[in-house]
Amino acid sequence: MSSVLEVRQVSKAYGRTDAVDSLNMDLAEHTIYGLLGRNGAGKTTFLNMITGGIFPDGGEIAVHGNLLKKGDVPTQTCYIREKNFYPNNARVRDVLQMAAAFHPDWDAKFASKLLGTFKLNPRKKMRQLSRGMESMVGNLIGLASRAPLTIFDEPVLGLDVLMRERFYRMLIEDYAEHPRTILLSTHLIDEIATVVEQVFIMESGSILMHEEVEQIRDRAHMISGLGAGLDHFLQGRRVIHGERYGNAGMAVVYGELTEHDHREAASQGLTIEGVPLQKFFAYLIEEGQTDE
Amino acid sequence: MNKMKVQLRVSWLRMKLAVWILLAAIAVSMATGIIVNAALDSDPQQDAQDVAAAVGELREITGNDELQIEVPSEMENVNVSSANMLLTLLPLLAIILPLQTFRPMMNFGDSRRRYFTGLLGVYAVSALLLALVNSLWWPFEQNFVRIYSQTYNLIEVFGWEQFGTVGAFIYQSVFYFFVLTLFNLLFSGLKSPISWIIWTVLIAAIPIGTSIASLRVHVADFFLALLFNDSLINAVGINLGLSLIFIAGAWLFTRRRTF
Repeated sequence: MSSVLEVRQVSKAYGRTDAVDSLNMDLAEHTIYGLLGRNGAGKTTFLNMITGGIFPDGGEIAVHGNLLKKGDVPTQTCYIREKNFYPNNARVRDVLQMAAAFHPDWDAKFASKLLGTFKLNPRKKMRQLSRGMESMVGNLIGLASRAPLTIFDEPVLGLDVLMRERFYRMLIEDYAEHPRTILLSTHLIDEIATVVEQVFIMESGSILMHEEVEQIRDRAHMISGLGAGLDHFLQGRRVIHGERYGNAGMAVVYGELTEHDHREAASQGLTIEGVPLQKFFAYLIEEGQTDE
Repeated sequence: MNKMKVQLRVSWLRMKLAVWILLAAIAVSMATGIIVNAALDSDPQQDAQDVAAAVGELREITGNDELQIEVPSEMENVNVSSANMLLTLLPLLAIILPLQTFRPMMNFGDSRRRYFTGLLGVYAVSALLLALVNSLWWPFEQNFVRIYSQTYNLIEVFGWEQFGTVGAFIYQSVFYFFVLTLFNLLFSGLKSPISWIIWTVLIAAIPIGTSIASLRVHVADFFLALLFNDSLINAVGINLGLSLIFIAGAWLFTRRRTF
């Protein structure tokens, strides 16, 4: 698979604060990625850099093989920002018509269908829409653009559960028919776990982890039991979180567990369970901090 | 809809309120002018008596019985031509568009280069349209409006009528484009320290230039060459030459402008 986005050692600082620090990323074609991180992790700054909105202090960005020079905007890319900047006195249908002019693969029929699915009134003005509906207009544009690289920054902000599910469902259905590279930036990890194939976990301007979702599911384990057995079992493993309750305790470890490991844990009276992605993400961010 | 049409649409959406307010202000101004003129015309005898009484009082105060004051035969207020009031759009366009259309266009996925070229296109069309409106209004103003009210128009103030209708239209077009590109330069890079320096230099230039005697003559020469030029070719050259410098400056700001 050829690379859609290549980012090498990209950095961006605001004053003395490093928003993005020597970040590397590769996105292959026809894959859905998740970019996960807490608020202030540098996700939006990074997305603004790869879409030419702001310029990196150092490093290289290449989109579809073309090196992004200062002031350039990548082609064949659709970036749906967290905050919409569509003219607030424009009607929804006008915004869609305007967006279509910038995306050669725009599917007008699909856009009309999505208007119905997302319950958007095309005659309403942007300023009359709720925060959730505003997000939906952006999401609709992102889906109907069919851009080879589509980026959504916090796409479900302000959406209720029903609308969030509708968006994810339409995204998966359309992706199945029209594969492309999609990058979803969010902090609602569990929701996108079924949608994305690979995740980048970002913290303090750097990529903390890049892994396939299935791999994370397979490798993240919560082990609980009595202290002595637990300590013995954890030796030499990557412990990303630990808690102790008197003589008992639990730990979240990241790594492959063999059949032998499972037997050993059972012999020590330890239980092994899976870890919800949201929890794994939270533990990973605070890796190494143990509550005694 | 192509990208240029999108830019025109976004520009209109951003300018709509300002345009309607301006048109309403012009309509109110015209109505007020008609009412005031009608009021002044209503009792010319009373006007003459008031003036005579005032002159009498002045003679008493000064002790000069020969004191005379020339009073125009028709006492009217002089208004700015309505077509000239429309020129308020020039600064409004070049302030609102760079401030309010850059982000929406970038958000749609436009490139800086195409956005800037489109913006210049909007300015060029606006300059031509406003020049056309004033050129068409000018004979109407001379032959009809001035029967009822006293007005002044930039075409006669700057002596552009000497170049004929087409010449006046060309002079206006290039001067309006000059104004648009100047304001565009000032409002394209508000985050840049270089822009702040340009602002400071421009704000300081006129008071300094007019207060120092040796500079005053150059300031006067500059404005004479820009606005009162007796050669249309020179005027076009100076206005467009300066516009090109402003465009180059604004492009330097825009190509590095962040979202």
